[in-house]
Amino acid sequence: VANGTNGAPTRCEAGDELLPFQISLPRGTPVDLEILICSTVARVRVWLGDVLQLDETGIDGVHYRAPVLDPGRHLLFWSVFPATEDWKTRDEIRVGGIVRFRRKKSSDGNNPIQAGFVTLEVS
Amino acid sequence: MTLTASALMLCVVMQAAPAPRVLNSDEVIAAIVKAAGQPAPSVARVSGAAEPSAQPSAKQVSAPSASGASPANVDRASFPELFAFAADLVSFNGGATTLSLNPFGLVAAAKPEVLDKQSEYQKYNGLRRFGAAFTLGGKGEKFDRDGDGKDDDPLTAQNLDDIVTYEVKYRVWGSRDRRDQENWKRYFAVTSDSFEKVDAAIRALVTLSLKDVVLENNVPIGVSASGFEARLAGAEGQPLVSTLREAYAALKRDIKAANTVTDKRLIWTAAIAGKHQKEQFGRDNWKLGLRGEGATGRVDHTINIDWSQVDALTGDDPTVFKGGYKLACKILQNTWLTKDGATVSFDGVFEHYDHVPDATHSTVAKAALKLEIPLSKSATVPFSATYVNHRDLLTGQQGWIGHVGVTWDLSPLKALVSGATKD
Repeated sequence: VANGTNGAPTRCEAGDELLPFQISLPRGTPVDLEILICSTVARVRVWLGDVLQLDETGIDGVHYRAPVLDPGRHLLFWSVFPATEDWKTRDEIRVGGIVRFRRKKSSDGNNPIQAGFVTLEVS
Repeated sequence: MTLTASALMLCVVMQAAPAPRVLNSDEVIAAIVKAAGQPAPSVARVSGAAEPSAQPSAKQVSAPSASGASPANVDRASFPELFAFAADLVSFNGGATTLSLNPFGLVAAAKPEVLDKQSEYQKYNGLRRFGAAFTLGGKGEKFDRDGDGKDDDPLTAQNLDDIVTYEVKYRVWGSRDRRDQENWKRYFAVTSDSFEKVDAAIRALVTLSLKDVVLENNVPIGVSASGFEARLAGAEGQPLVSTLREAYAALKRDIKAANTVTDKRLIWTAAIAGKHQKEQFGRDNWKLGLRGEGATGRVDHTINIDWSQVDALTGDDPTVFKGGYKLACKILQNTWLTKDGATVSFDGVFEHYDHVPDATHSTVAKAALKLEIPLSKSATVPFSATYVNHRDLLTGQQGWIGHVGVTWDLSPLKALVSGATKD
């Protein structure tokens, strides 16, 4: 990923957004959520259903791998709380190593928190 | 004709049954925060290089050399922005060339990821403490160059090395940079509960939105906009929206409180400055300084300590020591007297002059206690009590200030106590 020189996108700006509402996957397929944090440090919480999976301070980003999920529908929810006023984030979900979800956010909207979610349909 | 009529009918049918608007997950979040009266998060757009100007401010206090004798008149101008870039590196003014050296700014210009990645940013904590400025050329001093007993006009430097002025600063202790670890750790500690409440409230509303999922070929493709909006406004949604609204308000209060503490942290800066110039332009001089500024709790402090020396033409080198301290705090806030509170302050200055020909006294000590009560946003009534160790310093003041004050001369009391009337 380019580092921002010569107008190239930074880590948090790279790639097109993919915003499916639901991601379908066979049971046992690895699901990885990676949240990149740019120009700041942020507290990140990740929930799977009603269970808190991760609550940590992301320095450059955080990575979460979901446990093996039972068949059915699961809600994967996360929220990111940056420490400073200028920030960018990129949330990416990879299923079996393939990017299925990508979302990019910035502080331009003046909202102190960015939250996101996706439903996982496990067969 | 028949085809046209059919097309028209089709158009009418399509208008009569518009497809329901479906929200993706991003739009669901936006609808939730909007319902709670908050702006929706923005999409990160490519802005090119990570711009240093977008970074949190990390200013140091101004140089001690800029400070006057009294901290009541301290220069609160900021130390040059740590993220000054090449464009600000060199400036020209009145025949003088100034080089502003900002080591971290130079690193960031060459390597933008030090701003983008917090792990890289933290590696340069030490570098961000340094700043320096060098001025080459300019005007010399007004002094008696030809020995006729009269001061001669200052000469202008012809070469850059005729007059060299330098200043190096180092932030010894403290930081107001929100990206510094001690500051963001406190920030997250202060905001912990309120962030968790916002997180929980949004999650509850996201769960609620799943009741309005729209299926296409039995696969969820989003949330019905109309259905979810109605649910948010209904009996199910309103309590959750109210909870989120309150959580946001609490979070914003906590953010403000945390940032206020960071922005007023006590920071100490040391500086060494001097001027080296060829004989015809004046005498060499140099100074050391230490400056502290910030707050502990509700009390603001400003501390200046300066020591300077000038190379004498003959005899001992004149030296000057100046030390000053100012304390200020707000009292009586939200009382019948004043809503914003009155300001009570104390400032004290001690100066010592050694071999300084123009100095009237070898030591000067001043202290003042002030109470300023605001009558309105533009009018304040000040009360003050001032102590000086030489009477002429009290009566020989020059100029005037734009408020009414009361000055009490307590020297008769001193005479009563000690029997001394001198000074």
